[in-house]
Amino acid sequence: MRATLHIEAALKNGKTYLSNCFFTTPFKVANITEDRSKEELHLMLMTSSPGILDGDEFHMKIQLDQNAALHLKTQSYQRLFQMKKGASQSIEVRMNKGSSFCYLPQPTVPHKDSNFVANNNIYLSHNCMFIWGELLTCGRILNGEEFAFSKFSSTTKIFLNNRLVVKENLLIEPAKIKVHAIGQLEGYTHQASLIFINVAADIKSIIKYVVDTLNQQKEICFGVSSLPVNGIIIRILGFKAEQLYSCLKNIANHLSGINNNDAASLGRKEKEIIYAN
Amino acid sequence: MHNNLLSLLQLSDPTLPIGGYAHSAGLETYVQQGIVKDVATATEFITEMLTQNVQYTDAAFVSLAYNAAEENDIEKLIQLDDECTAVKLPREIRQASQKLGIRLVKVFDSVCENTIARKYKEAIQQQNASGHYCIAFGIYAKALNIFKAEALTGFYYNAAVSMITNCVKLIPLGQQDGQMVLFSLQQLITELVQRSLNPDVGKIGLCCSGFDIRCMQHEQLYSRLYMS
Repeated sequence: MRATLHIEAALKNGKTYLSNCFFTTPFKVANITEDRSKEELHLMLMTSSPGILDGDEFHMKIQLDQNAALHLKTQSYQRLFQMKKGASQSIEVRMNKGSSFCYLPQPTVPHKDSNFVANNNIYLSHNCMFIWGELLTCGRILNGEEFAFSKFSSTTKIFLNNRLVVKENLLIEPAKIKVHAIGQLEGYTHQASLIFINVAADIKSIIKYVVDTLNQQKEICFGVSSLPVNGIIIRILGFKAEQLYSCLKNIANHLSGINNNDAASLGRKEKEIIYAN
Repeated sequence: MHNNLLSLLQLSDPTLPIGGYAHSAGLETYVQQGIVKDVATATEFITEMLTQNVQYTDAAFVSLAYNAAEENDIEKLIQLDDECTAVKLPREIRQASQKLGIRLVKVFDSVCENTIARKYKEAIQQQNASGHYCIAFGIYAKALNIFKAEALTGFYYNAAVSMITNCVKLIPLGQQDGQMVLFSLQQLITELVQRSLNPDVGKIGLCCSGFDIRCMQHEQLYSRLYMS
């Protein structure tokens, strides 16, 4: 099935609202903003399909006007079903000056023989706050489907003022690589990553916060580092989707509280930040 | 075209004074954590690094930078340089690549008059490029009339020797063990060179979660002999 979703968020009287929203089945969008006094809009991305099926082709486009703040969530685990041809998804996010976007989808569960390719392109402008999480499991372990999928590919390119600054290229074809080898999953079954970009953030103290927070977790292996732009990347390996997802959620909550529009007062330019690194 | 073996030996010399000895690319973390501890695990580390990491990142950039230099295309080189910065997500790995790259440019700029290499140097000075080792390697390989397959062989050989030297020092392994591992990699390096001649651009910067994490953890290690 071919499906599209188009969301546009804008700011009016200090609050973000859905200025344009268009979708085709199986997509649905619900406003789940709890605290209506706050600037940010919380949307739940729902789908009437049980997951991604063979031949599915999903296209999503999200646009944020100046200073708009959007948190996009998904309702349930993303199941990738058995496939012959394969399925694909593309997400394009365009962020105007001073806007914030947080996307932390629920874990992805690739079933046996699933074949999925995702392409994400993010375009940031000055003073944006951006949080992007991803969590991939090894499949349905209880059904004996550990790494039984044929392909999972997810490429995320982040552009700042139209210049490529971060590219994440996740590709797992379990039949073609040694998934448990040194350098790959090293015996773990689940992997998660989180990218955070905010010109105004103090990266040193954020890295310390992430290290201290994740050091309290058991049976995970993680790393955190600063990006070529003012931001961080976190990678976590573990065994439990719920545990990893709640780690990402807690950290994202902390990070989204940092005001990105202070950046103007700091007078920092993105270019300087790239090469200061 | 005259194929310049001596230039290749100099360009790919692991003892070239550009500071390569100061970087372990995450190996120091693996050794401290007891994951890489003997000949077998060292061989696995080096094989996986060459196959899953170097092939899809640095060697691919060498190959593409070589092509861009051949076509005298500075725009393409800057685009590759940006992409290289963008895919090297652990900070120390990105910085290592830039430090080595800038020093490689310094060394070869004086010995090799070449228009496109000069343009790349200017782009670095004007902060339009970061100056990555693999990009500079590809450019100078072309500028010094080295055949691409041989330049790639030299590049993989240099990567393998650097890792072996670090394994011998850090684990430690016997010198003879190190040489045996190096000898055993010949077939693999020959295959990787063939694959890197026309790299699959869709696979550039392929994520290796384990390697990335150990490189990031290196920033937090209590005692460190290496810069990465």
